Amino acid sequence: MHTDSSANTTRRRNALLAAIAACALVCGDGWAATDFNPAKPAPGNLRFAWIHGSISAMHNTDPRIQIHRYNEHSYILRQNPAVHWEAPFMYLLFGAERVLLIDTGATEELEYFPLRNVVDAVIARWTTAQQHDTEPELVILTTGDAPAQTAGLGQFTGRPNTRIATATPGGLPKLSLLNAQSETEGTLDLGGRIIHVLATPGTSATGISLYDPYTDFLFTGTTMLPGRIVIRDYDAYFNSVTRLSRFTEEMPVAALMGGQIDMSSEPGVDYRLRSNFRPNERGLTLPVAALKECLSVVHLINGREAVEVLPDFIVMNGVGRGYRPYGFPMYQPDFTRQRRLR
Amino acid sequence: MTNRSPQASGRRVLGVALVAATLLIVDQAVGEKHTPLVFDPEGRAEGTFPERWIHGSKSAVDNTDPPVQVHEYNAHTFILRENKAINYEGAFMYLFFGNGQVMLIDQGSTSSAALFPLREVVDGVIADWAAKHRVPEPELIVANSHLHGDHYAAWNQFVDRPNTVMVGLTHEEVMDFWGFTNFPEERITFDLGGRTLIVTGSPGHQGSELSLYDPWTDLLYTGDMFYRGRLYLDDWDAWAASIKRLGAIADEYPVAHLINNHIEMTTTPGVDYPIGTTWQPNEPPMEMTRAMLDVALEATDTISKPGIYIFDDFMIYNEIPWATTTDP
Repeated sequence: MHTDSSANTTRRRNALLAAIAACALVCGDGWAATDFNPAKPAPGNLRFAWIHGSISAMHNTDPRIQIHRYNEHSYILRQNPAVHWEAPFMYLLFGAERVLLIDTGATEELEYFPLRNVVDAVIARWTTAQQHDTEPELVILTTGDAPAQTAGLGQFTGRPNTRIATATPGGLPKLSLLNAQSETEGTLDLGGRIIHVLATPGTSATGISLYDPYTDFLFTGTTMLPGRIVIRDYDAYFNSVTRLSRFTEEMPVAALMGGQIDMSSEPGVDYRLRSNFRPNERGLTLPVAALKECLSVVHLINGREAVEVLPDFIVMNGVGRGYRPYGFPMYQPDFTRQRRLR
Repeated sequence: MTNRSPQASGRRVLGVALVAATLLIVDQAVGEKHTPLVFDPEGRAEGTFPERWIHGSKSAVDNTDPPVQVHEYNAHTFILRENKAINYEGAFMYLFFGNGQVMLIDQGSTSSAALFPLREVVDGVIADWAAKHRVPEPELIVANSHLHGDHYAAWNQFVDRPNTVMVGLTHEEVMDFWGFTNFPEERITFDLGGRTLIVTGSPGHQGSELSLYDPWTDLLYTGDMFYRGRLYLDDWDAWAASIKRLGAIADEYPVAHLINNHIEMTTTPGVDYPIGTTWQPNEPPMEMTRAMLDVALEATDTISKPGIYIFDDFMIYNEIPWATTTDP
């Protein structure tokens, strides 16, 4: 094969340039790279009130999706209750190579609920801010099969550079990136940020929970949230809460992040279904101790029909989610009237 | 010329019509002062319901309907509905006009005039009505079907209105105004400027509830105690007795329609839009029939325990916590 010496020189020079560039990139990443498994959880801010609807939904002026930058690599999104009363939360977690979207909101229509646009915009801004040349790959997981978690999935159909996991009842979602350690547990590497995935069915057949060692958050979807926990499969739920409770002993968990808020700031008092104005909502995060509390309540329920009202959440088994344990004209428990310090 | 040209004939007809119209206007302008409107209880003043009421939207914040829908049932009867995107209750309100008096029954579920400008809307309807009938604006009576917050929220908007009688929001004030001495059994005949209304107590959903029969239109207004939806009852015996009283009225008088306060059912029999729904694309009509009242009458004999009882056109929530739903 004939080789041209000048072409060879050019090729060699190009290779050298590429090496320098690669070195610069590596070095650059070296000082900019984030430690996604820090000794202490990455700090973030949650001391504010979420958008919570308005007396008249028609007159609401809040954004359709609230974007909260918890820290540079972790975003919390909330759907406006005036668009859909479920007002679920969604999470965007960035790693060096991939970004994970947890849940997709309660509304299909891009016109009413522009989740795709918001996610695209956050990714674009992050990419620019991080001075990356290419956007990270988007990975989408849903923590359950409730319409309030999956409705927006369709907006991502056909999005380039995107992987949508297929939910699997009772097990881990189907996703080639997922490094399964067992049938119910695995890890997902976002590029340094290694998310633990646990199958936690019970409230939803395809329920999963996710642990992020960067923020030390345990994302629990409908499995554990400051609201009505409606158990659909008692045995599965018992096992899931047991596993999650043990998991909090194995790993440092700072807080539980659920998929929505039903409770008011009044202990034990929830906003009823389809309430699109929640002026005194409870905060989103639950302490780790809530899992133990939940486990003991679930243990006592022992498979029977029950509605257990606790200050921070309500556990319902064997009844529809529309069931209410108290309210006019029935007796209202005294504790729901007492003001307590939280 | 033996044949008149069609043009000449047309002009002649036009001329006659003009004279007739002029006479009519003069007659109205002069005559109305002396000839009051007649609300003959014999026969039936017909009216119409809209093809569809405003019924919210999938995304409430994207709703483009007016805050209050005004529907003219007939010249002297108006039905108003609050937009479900403002409050999911989508409550109906009524304006009954008589000579010199007009009665507003219920004031919706939202207090703020900025969000729910009921006063402005009612003032507009009254002004238009007065102009159309060439009479001074009638006195407004602000009354309520019953004392629940989703039916008196905008009551405050009328407190400073001139030429207005506020019935009040306590049981005592309501009884005093209507002149009840034996509530709820008593039947009161109320004269709304020549339009006689027959009022009776109908507690069961709420202790001060009233129902009303209008012999002019043959409409039987049943408020919140009987409508296409979940009938939340905290006093079963009182409700059963009230339904029987309404049955007796419907036996004695001709009833065109039963009209009421909410629509919560879907067009599928026995299936409701659960509480809090802000979009009801498949709503049945608001008005109900005598046959539906008969179903309720039958139910008064069969139901004795607390529980949810589902019928094709309504549901009885007997002593069930409010806001309990059948959501799976």
